[in-house]
Amino acid sequence: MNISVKIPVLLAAFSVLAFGPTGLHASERNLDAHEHGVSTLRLAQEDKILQFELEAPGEDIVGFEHAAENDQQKLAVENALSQLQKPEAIFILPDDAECTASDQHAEFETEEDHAGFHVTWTMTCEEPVNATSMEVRFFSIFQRAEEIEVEAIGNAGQAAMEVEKDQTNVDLSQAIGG
Amino acid sequence: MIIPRLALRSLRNRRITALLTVLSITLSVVMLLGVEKIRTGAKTSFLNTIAGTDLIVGARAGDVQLLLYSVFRIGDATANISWQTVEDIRARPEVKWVVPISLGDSHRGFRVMGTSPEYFDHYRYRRNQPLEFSSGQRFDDLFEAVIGHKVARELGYQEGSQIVVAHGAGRVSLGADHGDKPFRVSGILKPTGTPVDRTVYLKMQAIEAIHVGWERGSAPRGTDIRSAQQVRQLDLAPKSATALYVGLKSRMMTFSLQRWVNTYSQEAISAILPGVAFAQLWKILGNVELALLAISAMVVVTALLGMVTSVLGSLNERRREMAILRSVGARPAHIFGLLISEAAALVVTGICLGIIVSFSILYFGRSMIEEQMGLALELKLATALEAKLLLAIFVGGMIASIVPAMRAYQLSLSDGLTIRT
Repeated sequence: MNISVKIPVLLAAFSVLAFGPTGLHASERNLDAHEHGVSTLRLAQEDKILQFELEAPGEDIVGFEHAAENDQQKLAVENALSQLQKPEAIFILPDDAECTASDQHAEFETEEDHAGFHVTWTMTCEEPVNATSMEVRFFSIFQRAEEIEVEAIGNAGQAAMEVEKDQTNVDLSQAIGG
Repeated sequence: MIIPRLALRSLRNRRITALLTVLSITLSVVMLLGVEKIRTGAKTSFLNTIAGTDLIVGARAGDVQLLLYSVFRIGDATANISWQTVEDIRARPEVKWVVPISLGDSHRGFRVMGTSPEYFDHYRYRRNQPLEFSSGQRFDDLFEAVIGHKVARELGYQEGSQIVVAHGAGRVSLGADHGDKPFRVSGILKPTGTPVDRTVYLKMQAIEAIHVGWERGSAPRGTDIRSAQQVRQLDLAPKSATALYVGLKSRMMTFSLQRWVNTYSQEAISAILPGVAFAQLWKILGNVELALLAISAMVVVTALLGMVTSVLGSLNERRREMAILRSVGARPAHIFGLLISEAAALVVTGICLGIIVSFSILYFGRSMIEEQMGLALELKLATALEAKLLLAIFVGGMIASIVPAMRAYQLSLSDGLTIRT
């Protein structure tokens, strides 16, 4: 086996033994498991079009995970939705990518045992080659949120990043390209 | 300018110690840069193992496990996917192509993979590089095989060689060869630096064919034994696949198809984005990456300590020299400056030599490393991180040399012109 393959894989086996199988349950999370403090941002690029999808647990945004029960909670949901209806102001692509936002859609989805925000939007960029980084204002707006897991696919490939609370920028260069 | 000149002269006077010190700094720099190059090279090669495939579908399992067996042929699938499900996925409007793979057999320690001929069209590595043949072509006949570069080289196979595929994935086949059905090597792939190099490829139907009569789990006996000619007459349509490589008409549909697969109710299957699973796997490796870097940092620290030790050790024998310098008008600050300059000369020479040596190794050894280990190293003088590391070595060396310089400063203050011992 090639060294290039063997080393990382041996290391992987070692790490799994040594550090436990952390971070290996993403596929379950895609079904319906959710983790407080962790939002998911999926981003798909094809040439000039970038489609975004954000899923954030209700706990992270408004502090509860059920349908709004009183006026205060209703107000909190309304406030959050009014912010999330302008997602391009929360996840900001560089000016020189020359992007315009469209099809913004935000809703508060409630299920039996959990509730969360689901936001989708599209950015059309004249210079997608410059859209290789993104400013993240999510954590300063929603202070309960801890982390965003970003999955990005685009002209340059597929990539996954974790954006922690103290980060204000995310590098998209592994996925997004011209 | 007298101090740097004095420093150089003084080093020349003790050239053996100075040379050894420079050598140890050089070696530590080579090691640090080498580890860094291999680390980034391994990461790039690793992340570029598969490209152009939008989704990989397998039995429901963790993303990393699915990636490991479907791409690296490491570990085994929890279950196979039934052919009905394969057809359901193929029928989805988003899907452009589906390449099934079937694992579970081996040939003299190399994994055997059943697949369809389109595999050779759609498999891409390193930013969209397609597979190429160094000789021959893809399989056409039922009993033809395509082999990777390493398989051919290690086993001495050529186009046209006859090979026998063993049942199971072990190195030892315990007499359970599918020996009655040898395969002819129809083509050999060029080296890729990926697990492709170590794989024997057969047609999906061939995997079915070598298992005819094995349905009970042991070698066929009596009437179950069928000749290769008889097998050709059978219906060899594949009944299952271990995993599927899926290409989509538009990347935009990736997440929605992934969701569809993950909630497919007839069979427990899941879909992964290979690039995303790679990132997850590499994240687990982050600790080890850090450990590698820490080890080479320790080597650098050792080299710098060695430098401090040798300068400190020489101080006593140089007290007379210092005294003479003082007598001709050098102030203690000059003595301090002299020793710092000496250390700077050693460290800078060590770093420069280290860069030259590691770049030469890279320049002349790169093609050999790629050929031997499939590791594509970047031919770059220094990345931003490497530049920072080198700067850190320089600063570290300067800080470390303060210790002997301070000592010399103190000695020259107290000694004056007469040396009291």
